[in-house]
Amino acid sequence: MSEQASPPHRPQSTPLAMAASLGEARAHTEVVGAPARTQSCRMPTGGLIERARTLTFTFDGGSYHGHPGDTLASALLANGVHLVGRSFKYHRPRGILTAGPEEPNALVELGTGARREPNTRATTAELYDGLIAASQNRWPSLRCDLMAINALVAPILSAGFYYKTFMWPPAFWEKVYEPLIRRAAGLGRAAADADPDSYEKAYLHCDVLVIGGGAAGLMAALAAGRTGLRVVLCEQDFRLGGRLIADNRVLNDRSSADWVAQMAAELAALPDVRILLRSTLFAVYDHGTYAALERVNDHVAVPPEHEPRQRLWRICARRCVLAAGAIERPLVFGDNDRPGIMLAGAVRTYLNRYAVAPGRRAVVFGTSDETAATVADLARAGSEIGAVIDPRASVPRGIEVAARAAGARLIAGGAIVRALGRARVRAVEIRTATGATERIGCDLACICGGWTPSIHLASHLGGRPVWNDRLAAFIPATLPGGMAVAGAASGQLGLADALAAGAKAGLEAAAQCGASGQPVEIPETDGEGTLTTVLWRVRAARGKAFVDLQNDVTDEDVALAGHEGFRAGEHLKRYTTLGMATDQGKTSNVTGLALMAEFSARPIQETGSTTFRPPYTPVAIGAFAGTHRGKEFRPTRLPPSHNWARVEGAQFVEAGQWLRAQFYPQPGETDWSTSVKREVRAVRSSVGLCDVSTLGKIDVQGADAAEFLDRVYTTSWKALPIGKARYGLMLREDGMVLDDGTVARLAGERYVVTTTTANAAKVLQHMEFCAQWLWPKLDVQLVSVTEEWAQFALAGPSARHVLRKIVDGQHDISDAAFPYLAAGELTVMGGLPTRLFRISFSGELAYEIAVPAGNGEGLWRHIIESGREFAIAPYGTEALGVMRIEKGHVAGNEINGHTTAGDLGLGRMLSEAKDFVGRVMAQRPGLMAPDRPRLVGLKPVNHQDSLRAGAHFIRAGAKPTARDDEGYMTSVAFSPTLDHWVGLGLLAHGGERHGERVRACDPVRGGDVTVEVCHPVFYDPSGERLRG
Amino acid sequence: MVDLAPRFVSALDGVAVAGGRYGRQSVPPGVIVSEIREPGLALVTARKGCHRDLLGAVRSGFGVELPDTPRRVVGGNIAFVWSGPDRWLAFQHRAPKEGMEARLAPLAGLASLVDQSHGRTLLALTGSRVRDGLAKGVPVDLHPAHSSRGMRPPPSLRTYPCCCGRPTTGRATNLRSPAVWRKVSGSGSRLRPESTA
Repeated sequence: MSEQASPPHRPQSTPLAMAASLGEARAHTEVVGAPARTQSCRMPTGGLIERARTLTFTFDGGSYHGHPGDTLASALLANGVHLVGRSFKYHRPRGILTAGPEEPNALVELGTGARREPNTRATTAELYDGLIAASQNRWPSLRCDLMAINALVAPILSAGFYYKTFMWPPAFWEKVYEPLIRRAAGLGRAAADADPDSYEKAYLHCDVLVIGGGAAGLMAALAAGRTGLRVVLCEQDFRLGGRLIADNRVLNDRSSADWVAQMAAELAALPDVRILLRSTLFAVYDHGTYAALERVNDHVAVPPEHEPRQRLWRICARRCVLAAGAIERPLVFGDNDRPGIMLAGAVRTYLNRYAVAPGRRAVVFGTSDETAATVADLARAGSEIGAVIDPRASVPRGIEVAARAAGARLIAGGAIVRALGRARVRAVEIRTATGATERIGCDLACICGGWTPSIHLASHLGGRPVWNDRLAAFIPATLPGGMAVAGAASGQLGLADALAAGAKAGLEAAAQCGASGQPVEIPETDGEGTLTTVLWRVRAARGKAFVDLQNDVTDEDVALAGHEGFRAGEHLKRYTTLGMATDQGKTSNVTGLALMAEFSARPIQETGSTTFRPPYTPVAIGAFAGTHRGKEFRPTRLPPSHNWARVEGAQFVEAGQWLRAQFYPQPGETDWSTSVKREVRAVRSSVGLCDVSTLGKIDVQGADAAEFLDRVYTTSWKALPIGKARYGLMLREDGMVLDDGTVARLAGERYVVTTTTANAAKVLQHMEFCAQWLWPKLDVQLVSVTEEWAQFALAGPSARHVLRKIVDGQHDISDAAFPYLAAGELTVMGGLPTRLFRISFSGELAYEIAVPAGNGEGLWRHIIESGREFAIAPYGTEALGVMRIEKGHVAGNEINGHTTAGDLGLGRMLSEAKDFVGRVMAQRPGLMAPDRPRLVGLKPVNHQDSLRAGAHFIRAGAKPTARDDEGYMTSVAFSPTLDHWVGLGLLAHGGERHGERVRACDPVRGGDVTVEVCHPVFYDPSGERLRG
Repeated sequence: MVDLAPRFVSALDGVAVAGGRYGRQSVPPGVIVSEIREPGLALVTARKGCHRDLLGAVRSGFGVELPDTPRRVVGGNIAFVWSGPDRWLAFQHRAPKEGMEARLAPLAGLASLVDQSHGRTLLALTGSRVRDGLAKGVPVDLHPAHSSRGMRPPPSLRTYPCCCGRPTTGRATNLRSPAVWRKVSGSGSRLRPESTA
């Protein structure tokens, strides 16, 4: 970081070294490479900033200075920069309105390149050295934005304009109107490059969660923390304190900032209190679960290598105290969006916390007693106050005294009707109590329309807030379980009340967790007035009177919505887009509802409120993803032979979460099909080895294991002898085929079931449902053993020879002793426990050998070595697929959720002697219809033609339309055995059409091949080879 | 000559990060990870109506009372970790030569026994920041006041089913960590222990 000398000290008599005239404000042109501007609006003393260090940052190419402790907004204001953006629809010049996350105007692009982040609120972006920011939504520049021409067509762009305009001619919509509107709409540009930063997610458990580190929150955390409970204090700012560090208050004869520091120190010293700064609690979920986003490294240019940029916390709390404070409301009058019009509370924040005077000559217009504090703080900073305007005819004494002390003119019963100026406010037009109008020059207008309790989080679980007339605000009615609200968030706007309420809430939360403690001493405070009167809008205002600044929604838009019948809160929102911008209407929702109530002559309560949903503030997608990105989106599962296959140069394919060897190219093989054909021929002529560990394996035990299997499979298992396996078919409850596999009986009450790779989890889930829910009295236990066993298929005429070299000598694996479909527990390699199954997917003599997975790689190597004399070839999923298609075995392409046992030629497997899942529904007429597509084999009439899966069957002479569609090709392969392509498919009346020729049409890829319908088993239909 | 003797290959061999120091170097390591190789693991699921007899068989055969809440009990060199209703994970540091199902033979007929020694990977995590590291993946409360020794919280390490517990002896900061799916390539190790250092 650069360390430059602080700006030159200015004498106390002229606290502000401002421009001699307001016009100099326009002199801040965007000059790249110009020396950094001095902080002309920085007060010489005060503020919670580190003056000893100076930071340099750029905004729209101009270089500026600030200090640690600044936000981008405070630093811009310190440098006299008020114009920071252009509004969404009308491209009006906009300045900084607030000092917090509710900011609607000061949205900037922060960062560059892959780290560029649009729509960042300058009011919450911590300043760091080298920060680069740019304004948004303007072209070609902020000061001269040609899109401001939209203002000329403002009458057309009123609320809901897109429902009424751009309708004719219809063809223009897609080609002209929509592209133009899309280009004109939106704020900011997302980065085009991949995000280089990392994000984390973590869990946090506590007894009491306190949301908000202001007066009420600090007291609540202290009260609960002193009882010894685990407390988490979540604060979105980078400092604790809330309004206590924004206002000049006195607590126990100390400044409020000092008091906050003392509280923070005590909390930090408590062993089980955790303070999360820079952390926004953005969601409330069921059962005491919350989500918070910690901006771990958003305040540095590049996060340290080992740290995430942001961390998403999932917090489980037994109790929660919501002390999120309140949000100040702007006032609605003509052209109330000019740069230099700021919320009064925000002005006090800039004065007291950041030592920035946002204006030289101010006007204060407010409806609450806090006006007195604003006037006093401005006067203390040396700002001239042109007028203090209060709409109340009888102004509280505190405001009178403050105005007099500041030498400011007090206008009771008055109101600002319009702001004048464009890139900066230069005057306000006011109406006095007598109705007279006059202009008052100013470069800063401080406005306050009251405070809205920040209750969004209290409503995330659907609780609707209720209107409170006394507070002129919505407050929570029903709260999420375990949550209490304290302080300004519950309408307790006075400091003393907030402190007391926080302490009480913290202690009560602790008591509910079973801990008792002493009441926390409430500090003595300087008093303040908290009365607020309501002024939703200044009538007869001239110019555009904005309600929602970020979406450019005016009071006329609200009136229009009411006129057109959109009077409910939710309709108002959607018709006008009020509250739908990134600020979610934090400064506009209540005013909008109040205006609608006024326009529709109803109480506010009847207009309803909109529904608050998470997130409370925008959360980056990266934070939600955490580490689940790229290859880590989900785990990758590797079969036991993977390391060996990788070294051998295998090509891999993703099969669900598994990474399986697809084929093993040998030197000189440049084409995948060459490798696959070789592997198939090797298996058919000698022997091959395939890792089939990915197939699901489920251990089924219990006295009722056989009964259970009888019920979930279509065939019967009670008579299956020990040491035997059989092919099984499983249906869904609706009668469709769920999966196929094998069942082997290893002992009297022990079976092992195999499933397809893709359906392993689904089948176990189905079986668990059946066992736990449908037949809970059955004595059956199910355990997945997919990962426990490595399993390899050894297939080919020489398979037994190779196997003999592996299996320990005492085991007889001759055809007589171990015939087709035998299953048993043996040992290999000198005593290694093994399960051996003689089953075949390839159609050749084959075995599947299973060993504990940790020994899998060793067994694989052993088999390869043992098979060398037989030219053993490892084969992958491609060759596996070719061979099963040659044999007419159905797989996932055919068991696709739409096929029945009958469709697949497996109708004979539906037992008529017992009940099973899916039996009844499988007999529905629609599933038994004779014209259903049935499994057939297909081969091209011209053997040079290739086949395509997905091609649809059209009868010869018919047109390739949906009406003439008779089925589709499910699986295809080039058969090295037959030297031409073969396929399986589902064809209407398929079983009766062998020998017929149909077209296999693939309009998507331009294919049209004549194929002959045949039996689906192309190879060894009698099964002699697998029984060899 | 190729060594064809049967040898145990860990699921982490070739896929997890190699041994060494990762992350911040300026402070002592906050999380130390080591694999417990070739453990003995088996799932014990009571047969219907045999719950009481099973408790008796475990008591007499292994000298412990099977827990019926998320806890772990140890008898000699074998531990039983509650794993669900009527289900426990039997564990010992080194798999017995005869296999876990044989080791648990006294329970045969009263429970279904399924060896899981090769179906899971066992990691031991120690270090001053081990709880913070685990918090990035394990959703349960690992605070000492809530995670008493021997407890077995419900499973999940991010999306991986897992089982986590603290040993009943030894330093309080020692935590046995999650068992993750076998053959999870690399991603299971991305707990970024360095960011808690």
